Amino acid sequence: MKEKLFRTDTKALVGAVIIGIVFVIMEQVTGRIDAVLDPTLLLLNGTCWAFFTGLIVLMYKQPAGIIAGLVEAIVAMATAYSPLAFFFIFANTIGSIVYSLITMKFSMEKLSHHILGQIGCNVTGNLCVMAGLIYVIHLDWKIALLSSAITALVGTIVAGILTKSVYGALKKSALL
Amino acid sequence: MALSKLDPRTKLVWYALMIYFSLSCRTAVQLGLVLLVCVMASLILTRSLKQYKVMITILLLLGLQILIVQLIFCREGVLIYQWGILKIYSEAIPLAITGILKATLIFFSSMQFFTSATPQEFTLMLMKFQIPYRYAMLAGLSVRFLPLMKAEYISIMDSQRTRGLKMESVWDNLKSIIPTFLPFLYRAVRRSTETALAMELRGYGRSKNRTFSSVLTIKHYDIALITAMLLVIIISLASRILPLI
Repeated sequence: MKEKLFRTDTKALVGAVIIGIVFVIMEQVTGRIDAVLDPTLLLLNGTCWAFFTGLIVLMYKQPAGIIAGLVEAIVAMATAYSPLAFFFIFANTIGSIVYSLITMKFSMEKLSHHILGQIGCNVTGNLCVMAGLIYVIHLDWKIALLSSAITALVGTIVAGILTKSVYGALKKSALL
Repeated sequence: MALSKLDPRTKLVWYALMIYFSLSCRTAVQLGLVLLVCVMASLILTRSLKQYKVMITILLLLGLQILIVQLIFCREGVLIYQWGILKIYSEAIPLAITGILKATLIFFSSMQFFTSATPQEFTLMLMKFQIPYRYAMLAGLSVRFLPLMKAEYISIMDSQRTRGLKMESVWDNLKSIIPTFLPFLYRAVRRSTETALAMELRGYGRSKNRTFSSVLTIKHYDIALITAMLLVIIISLASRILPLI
């Protein structure tokens, strides 16, 4: 069980930081597209977040997932990429831990395993973002809940499929 | 007293205080006052606000985003304008201003904290919090790799553009995510493997303790400042919680 949850070798720690930076850059790219296409829902951004949270946990396990999430949240706060950046600290940490706890029970060979992991990750992560929508943007809780639910739904399905294909490709390439 | 003379732990408590105020203040006036104090502190300690110039454009975009969200979704106050399904209520603008001030305060204090110390100081601060060296040094590593990875992503985008990938409109950018992102991810994984190997060959993590060229020592004025700031947080929290009991 411990082997499925933790990995503390140098490769995992350095990988967490470097993939965390890739995470930051891709979030900024998708964030800019979302600002034009759907500024209230941030579907691309939410999907990108769920995909990276899942992929990093699958590749390097914990504490790499938490480290990469913290790198993303801290850079997001320092570069003002989102008004909700402060809540990303909690969303990234909790989302990553929940994904780890769910996926440690599965072989991660089927799409359903990835979708189940993403359900836990998206629900908890988007709940933290929902708190941000209420406290920082002062949205009504019903609208914040609807927005978070749509983002979580899209994120779960698309990120589940993407994580399976990219993680499979990475395993085949022997880069891990 | 220059900003560089302050201990990173003092700056961390100041940052926590600003975040606490940004989340607990309810009116635009309160938030404006806290923001003013934060800006004045920066001006007094660094004698310049030049580094925050980049903030203006980003904050304008951020403000516009919050304003659009409030205009579309706010249902508080009285209806002042209606156009089809779009209804604008009187509370939309004040709520948008409060939201913008909160976001500005969080952003300003974050920038203030993260640009006030060197990566080595952050590493030393984390080690003072009993975080093992293997983890604490990752703060410096991320600062070192951020510009490198950004340059790598730009070079991948240029390569794809040379191969004929269109990147002119938003739709083109959306379609170009996968062809630019996948090579970027694979290169990042390869780079992390190479970096980890190079670090291990240089003896990283061989011994638990490391020596540094500088040491963090907390001064009397740092202790006084930290105590004062923590007292402000405690008194403020107590004044909110005690009436509820």
